Amino acid sequence: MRAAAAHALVSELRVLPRNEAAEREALGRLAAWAGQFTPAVSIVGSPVVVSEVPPAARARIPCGPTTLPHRPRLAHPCASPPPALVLEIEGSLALFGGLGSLLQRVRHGVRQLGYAVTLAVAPTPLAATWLARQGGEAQVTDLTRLPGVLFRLPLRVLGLSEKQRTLLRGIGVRYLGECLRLSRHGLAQRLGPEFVLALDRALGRLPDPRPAYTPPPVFTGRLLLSSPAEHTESLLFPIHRLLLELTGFLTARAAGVQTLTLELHHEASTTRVRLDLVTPTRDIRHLTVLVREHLERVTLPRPVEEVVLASNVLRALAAHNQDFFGEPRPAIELRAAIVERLRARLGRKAVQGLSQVAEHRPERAWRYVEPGTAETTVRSGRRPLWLLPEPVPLELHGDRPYLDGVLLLERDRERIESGWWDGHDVRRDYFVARNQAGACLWVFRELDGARRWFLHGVFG
Amino acid sequence: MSLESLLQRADIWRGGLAPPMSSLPSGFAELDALLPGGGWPQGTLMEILIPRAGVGELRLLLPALARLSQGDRWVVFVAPPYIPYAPALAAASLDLSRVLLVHPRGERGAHADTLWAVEQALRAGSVSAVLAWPFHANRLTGSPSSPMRNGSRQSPPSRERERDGMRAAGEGWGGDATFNVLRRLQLAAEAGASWGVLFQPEQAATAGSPAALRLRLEPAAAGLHVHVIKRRGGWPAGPVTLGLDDAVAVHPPARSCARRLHTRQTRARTTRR
Repeated sequence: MRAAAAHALVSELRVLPRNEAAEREALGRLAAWAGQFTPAVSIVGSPVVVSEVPPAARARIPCGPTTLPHRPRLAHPCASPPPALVLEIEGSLALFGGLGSLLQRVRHGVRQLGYAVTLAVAPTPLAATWLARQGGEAQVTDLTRLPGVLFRLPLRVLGLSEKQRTLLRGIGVRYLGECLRLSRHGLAQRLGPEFVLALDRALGRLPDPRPAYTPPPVFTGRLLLSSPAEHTESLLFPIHRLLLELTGFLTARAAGVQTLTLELHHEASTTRVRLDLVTPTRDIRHLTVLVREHLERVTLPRPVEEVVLASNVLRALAAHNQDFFGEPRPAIELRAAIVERLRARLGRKAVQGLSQVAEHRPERAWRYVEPGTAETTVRSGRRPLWLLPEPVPLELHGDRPYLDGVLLLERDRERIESGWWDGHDVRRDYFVARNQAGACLWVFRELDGARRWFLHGVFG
Repeated sequence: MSLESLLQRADIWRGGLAPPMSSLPSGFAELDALLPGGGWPQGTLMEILIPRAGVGELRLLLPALARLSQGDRWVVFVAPPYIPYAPALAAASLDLSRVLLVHPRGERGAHADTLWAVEQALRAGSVSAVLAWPFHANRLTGSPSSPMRNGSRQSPPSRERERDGMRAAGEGWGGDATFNVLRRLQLAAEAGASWGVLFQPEQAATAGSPAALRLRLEPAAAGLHVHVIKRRGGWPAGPVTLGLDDAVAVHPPARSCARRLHTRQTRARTTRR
């Protein structure tokens, strides 16, 4: 149908030019995502020409999900058939619990990514591609049943050239079965030897090895928004799709990400959001929560038109076996998850671990560290549970330190003299003191200068 | 419906019988006797009312925290009033590599972020205990002399700051709103099988609370008076007096003889003066 005719039928029709480069890119990302189901994923763009034929043929049960663009498209009669993905799934059936459950997962996953899908299962990749193009959800797992199914296929699914189609139409052939009844020699002479070879491959008489799709080393996913997003909330849905693609990609590579960059493209500028994780992960729920927390802190200067999600170098991350008693993830990853979640909203510095430092000066005997990386050193004397950020000068009543009453010092004192080498030397006598209110305090007196008294800690 | 069949119901319990709940020994036998289940109730929210920060509230919890830190979950401090001092925590055999400090200072207001962080931590499932000081969030940056607030000689600026702090905290913390917030935290603690401890000012004693256990601490010369204001399956009880120094392992440094002599001489000089 011509565009003008379509406009005449539906006045509010929006005609968009087909972006083949974007389609190819999307199909590539889908192939990388599908790697989680089988290592042998190949893209079928145009009719495949295989130049060399290995001697032994293997039985294959590929399923070819044919992806169709989401938006309604004006199909030109001569347009080449839509590209497809071929997955060899025979080796994955046991892992995913049988054909039905595997197909359901593929179908559900592709739909979540926002694509429509037609699945077909056949023992040869070419037959699966043709069956998927036909549109019916055929499932043929038995090679002996294949000819019967292929016989009824219309010729348009073969992706023939205009000349070949005219010729076959001229001799009254409409279905593949009629074509198979003709003599091989005559067909090869009139339509070319590739045509006959393709028929042989489809029927499993000749092997049909496909080059497996090699995913790129890092993930980059982009999504053009159908309408510019003015608020970060409306970005969550498209970003969730990209995250789904990312996690499929990571599952296929048995890897996790530790740093993610989210680029929000505006008309003329770009907002960048960087996610740093404590441990590599590919958990979709965790990543979604983190992205949401990060986006809440972002104010968009202008509406967002395109979203790009990119990973940096991938880290190896083994799949974990599900525990029988239902602990889904190892403890270390669970611990990292809450740290990242708190940091996503409160900032990196607001969430810290605590460590001891081998040092006599009390204010330097500890420091903030990355959570979970604490060191424990030798034990020192009696120390308060709370340390004041800075020592506070105490008032004097007579020659006694005073804080809510005169402080009663305990008999033991601890002299700390240290730090002459770095210019922050300390010469102090530390006491445990109590006041009338029952507070137990850690105070010290300088040994030099004015010999002032300070409060340094509370035995809380 | 007969009385017997009514008593069979899981959601009905009789006064005087503690409902089944998992608990962790507190490390103080006198206190365990008062607590439902014989220890700190786990998977619940608990409130400790204190007259000021640093009366001994942390030492009260330390034995239990030390035990929890040996597991593979975090012990989280949210908005502590001062710096939890690493050497003292380590000396109490708390595993520092399981300690997480959270200092919310967000643009949304520290108080809202504190409560958010507490809820997230409780719900996470990877946290065994959350200690939170929602009222003292501003203390860390405020005047360090504020813990001694019941003193008569408090300087006016610090008292003013104190009031400001209470007002700021009170805005999101009063009446029904408070009850609902605590209810959320209680549910989060149940969901994450975590132990939530909120430190509250004494004034909160009159307000209703969904917390499973509420204690009031009162410093005393002999140690610490612990009043049980509310407990599940029991009436208010106490006070029980705990000598906290016994619970914390104290390791005095091995001093050389010369040092000891020096100390003695200094002390002698001091007394002469």
